Amino acid sequence: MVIKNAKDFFINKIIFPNVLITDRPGVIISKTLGIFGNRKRRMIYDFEDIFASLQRETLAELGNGRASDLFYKIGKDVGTQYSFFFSKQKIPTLFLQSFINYTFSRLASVGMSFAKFISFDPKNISLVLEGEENIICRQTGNASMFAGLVSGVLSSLCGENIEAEAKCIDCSKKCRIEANRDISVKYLPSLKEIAPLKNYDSLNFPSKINLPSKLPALNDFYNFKKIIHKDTKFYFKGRVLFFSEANMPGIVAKNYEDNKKLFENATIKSAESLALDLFRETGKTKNKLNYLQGLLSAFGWGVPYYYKRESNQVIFKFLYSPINRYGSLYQALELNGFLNAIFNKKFRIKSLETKYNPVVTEITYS
Amino acid sequence: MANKAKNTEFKIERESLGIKGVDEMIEGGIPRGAIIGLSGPPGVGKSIFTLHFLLEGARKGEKCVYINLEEPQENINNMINQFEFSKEFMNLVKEGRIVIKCFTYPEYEKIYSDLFQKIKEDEEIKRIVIDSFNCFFSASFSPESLNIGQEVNIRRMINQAFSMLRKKGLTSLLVLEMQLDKQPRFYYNVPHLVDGIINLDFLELGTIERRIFIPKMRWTNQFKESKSFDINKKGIVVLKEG
Repeated sequence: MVIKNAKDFFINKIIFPNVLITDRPGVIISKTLGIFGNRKRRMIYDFEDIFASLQRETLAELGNGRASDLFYKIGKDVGTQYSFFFSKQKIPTLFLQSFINYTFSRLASVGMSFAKFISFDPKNISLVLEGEENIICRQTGNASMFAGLVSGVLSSLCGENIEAEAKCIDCSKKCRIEANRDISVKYLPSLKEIAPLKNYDSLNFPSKINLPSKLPALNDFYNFKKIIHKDTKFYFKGRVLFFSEANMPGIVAKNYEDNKKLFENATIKSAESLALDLFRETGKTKNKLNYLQGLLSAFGWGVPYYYKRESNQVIFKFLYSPINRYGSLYQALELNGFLNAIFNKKFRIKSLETKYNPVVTEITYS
Repeated sequence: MANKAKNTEFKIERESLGIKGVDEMIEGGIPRGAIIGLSGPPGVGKSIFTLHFLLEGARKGEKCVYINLEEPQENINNMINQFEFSKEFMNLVKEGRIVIKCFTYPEYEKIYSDLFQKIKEDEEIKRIVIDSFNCFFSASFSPESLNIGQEVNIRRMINQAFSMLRKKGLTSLLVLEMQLDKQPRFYYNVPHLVDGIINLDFLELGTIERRIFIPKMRWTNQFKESKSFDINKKGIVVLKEG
């Protein structure tokens, strides 16, 4: 982020200096240190293609209007929740501009390049974000989720509901999201429903990681040049990655409750298609599974320490898997698609169970 | 004036490690007389790396000593025999240019003072490998169980070893083991004491990929990126990357 003035410096270096802890297999932690105390967020990586494909299928099935409303809700829930981790109080007007610069620049640095150029009028609470080649919507042509995200973040920072809308021109060449008081109310999230769990910290940040075998941490992927950062985006084998707080998959699943079949089928299908391509040159099934375990571990999905294939079922266990209010269905569906591609079968989730102390998520496919 | 500056230019004498691609990462080799930590998880190729270092020294006519505190001599021979250079290596062992000493830890504890004394007295020795240096202080595997007396004793042993290696000016490789979860086994202040650290690591994603990292090398403008390497009949081979 470019620090333009003393206030930006104060926000970046004194209020919210940030570190990313990447040396633990299965666990990625974003830690914000500062005068308001330490705040930690459990982070995960996922493929842009999976989410973009889910959005495309949704647009095809629900039509642009209903799909856009759904994406907006997801974005606003995520944006509102994002702010839970930063400030519980309304931001003083004096610092509002700098907080907005800080927050959206951070998003822009992980692929959300719609927020590359930030123009904010604090007096009238009017925000315009511009950029190009934004993650996900550059594939789908629909930026409603990001408009919702902007609305959620801005509303939390300003302490009043501010709606937003996408006004992109020739997607993905010019992204433009506007947020101001003149846009009529579209969706008001229930704070109670989307707040992180009370025991979020104790469940998501294991103090010591005991490993039954060698699995990589995200840091290993950086060191071995498996993940590269280029033009604000992270790439794994040429595919763009989506970096989010670990509650996001749960929020997506919650919003798809009325369209569960669509959600399940689309997620499995897009993961199958990605895995076929990803593991094409990996050879034996055993090697593909080893690859998958390493990938999920480095992406912060927990430590995929146990795998068992029986005649007609597959059991996968994750130690220290990320825990959120709405469960791990999204990850389980994605893994479903990966396993289908590896075994050339059509498995479906038979059971999904999480135990605590330590956190272990067990998924059975049959 | 220019000539005067040229005459007083400080030049570090370097010792080749015997692996071309690695030497290229550190201006031609490790500084002569330096003590280098060679770290990495089990199975990454640390011991094989040290064979190149010993062989290179012996080829130049230096006497090189390899002390192993984990494996019997037979296992060391088996390791050497995998490679194309095994015949040459074993001939140099026969000629006494490479000396291999294998001890169990209890044996080593009894003889280490005498061993160090012998190394001190032997003027011909120029290179030494201790594989692994962690075993120098075996109690450190469970540091939480150490009492103050034991800890002081371990620190004394480490300082004694470093002092001897430095006084004698031996170019040394100390193998430092890492556990699979990458948490170094209780190193005390070894990473601070050594003049350089060469870290070998591997990533398993369906196939195994190995890389070499050099995070520390005193008096050297080392290569800042990592390099990929393979282990084949030639031993450790640094791969060219596109």
